Amino acid sequence: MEQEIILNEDEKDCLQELMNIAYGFATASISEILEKFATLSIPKINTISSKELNTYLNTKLRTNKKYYICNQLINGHLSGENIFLIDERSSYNLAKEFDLDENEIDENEIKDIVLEITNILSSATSGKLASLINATVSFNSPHITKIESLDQFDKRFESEYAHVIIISTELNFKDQHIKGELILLTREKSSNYLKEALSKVLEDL
Amino acid sequence: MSINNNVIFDTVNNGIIIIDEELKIHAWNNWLKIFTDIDAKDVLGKNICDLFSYINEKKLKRKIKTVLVTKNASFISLDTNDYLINIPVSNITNKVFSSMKQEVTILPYDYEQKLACIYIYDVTPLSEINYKLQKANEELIDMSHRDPLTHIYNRRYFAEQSGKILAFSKRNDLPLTILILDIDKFKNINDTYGHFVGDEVIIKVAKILSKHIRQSDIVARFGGEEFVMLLQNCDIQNGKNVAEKTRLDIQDSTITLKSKEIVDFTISIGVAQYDQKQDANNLEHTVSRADEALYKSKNNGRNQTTIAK
Repeated sequence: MEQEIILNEDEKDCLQELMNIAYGFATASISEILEKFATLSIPKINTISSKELNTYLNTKLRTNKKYYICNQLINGHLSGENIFLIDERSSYNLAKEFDLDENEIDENEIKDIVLEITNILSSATSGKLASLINATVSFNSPHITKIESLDQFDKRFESEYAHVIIISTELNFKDQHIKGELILLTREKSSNYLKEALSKVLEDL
Repeated sequence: MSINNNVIFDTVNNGIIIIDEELKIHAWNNWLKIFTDIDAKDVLGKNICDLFSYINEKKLKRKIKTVLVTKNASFISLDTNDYLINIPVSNITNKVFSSMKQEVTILPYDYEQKLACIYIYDVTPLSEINYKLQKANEELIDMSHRDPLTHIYNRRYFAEQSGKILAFSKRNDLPLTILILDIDKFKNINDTYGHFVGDEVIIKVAKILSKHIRQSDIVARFGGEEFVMLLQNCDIQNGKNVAEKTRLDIQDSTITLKSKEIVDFTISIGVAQYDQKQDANNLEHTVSRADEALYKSKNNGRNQTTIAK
């Protein structure tokens, strides 16, 4: 339950390719929904064990910044939880891209927009990845919290989840750099399903 | 087996609306008719925002577009919205909310006609339980931070907060001053009048101390008849002023017993400002210096304030 997801080099490359396709879809979706040009940087994929996630988040949250943390449960073949982590400044910039006037932007609106972008990124990654490997998934309603330290983060993920896939990306609008990170927590069964599915995709190539 | 979708549509225990991207209503199920008292014939073909003016049109249009573009679900979360359609709660027992709490899921319905399906779930009972649990938790946390006799903070809370306050003060280069206060000859009060009166004196002192602090400061009972005041953005001179005002206020206070006998009491105080050179990131050291100053006040005749070296 504590090891890093074991993917060989080919499987890692395959996952990176599938994620590139998924993020391409996410970029196109965001541009179409907001009717403005947006780009997502090529996602950097990193796989770690759930124990290492604690250290990883600790480094992130040690910067005296406040973060919005949005989590969404995934059911089905790729069951687990997606977490989107975005700092306060980036969230504010994101709200401006959703055509909100300065006087319309408050804590509630920002949360609403982070929830929406999480849902889009989550469905574009887990949803698209699922469709590319013939898996079935469904999503629960996402939830959002504002946190300042790791103490406010529920530590149960260490026992709940086996593996962690971190997808770092930057969402860019015309003059705005919005940094966010999507973290995919997968259960043991789903990690095995993903590994098998990736091998199958490679065989079919 | 053939399935009659209309039966499901009109008997399911949640609201269902079929809506287009211009927010025109195409279907409205029986659940909604019952809870809103609005018949389907009165809403079909109408814009949902014209019917319910509190719905944010821009936001809902974006969500409908999101589901049609991503071909996946979108949600209206309880974290940011209490409901989509305001339905008064009719439950007379355990009523916490005046309106039904709703979780809303929006799914694509027909891509060609650009239709989406809105599912409204009543989560009021669960929200009420969560609300009560949260309140109970907050009360428990608050109780664990407070002294049961005086209701001011306890030593544990002071220890938890003082580290954070010191870090904030250092980061913003602000002075931080600590006052240690002790009721003079408290044993005599207990021995003469009994513990009940002793407790009354402790409560009275705690109330007076609370009067002399700002919202950003902390007053806590350290144990027995000893108290601590942590004054943010306050140098030693201002700390001494607060100490003296507090001391004089307590000197002028009394407790009147049932027998009409008047009990008066005084306090001794030690004051120390956090000093990076002397205290080296350790606020406990500042407390020790304030404690030493307090004992000087005691040894010099009590009912006085001494500043630490």
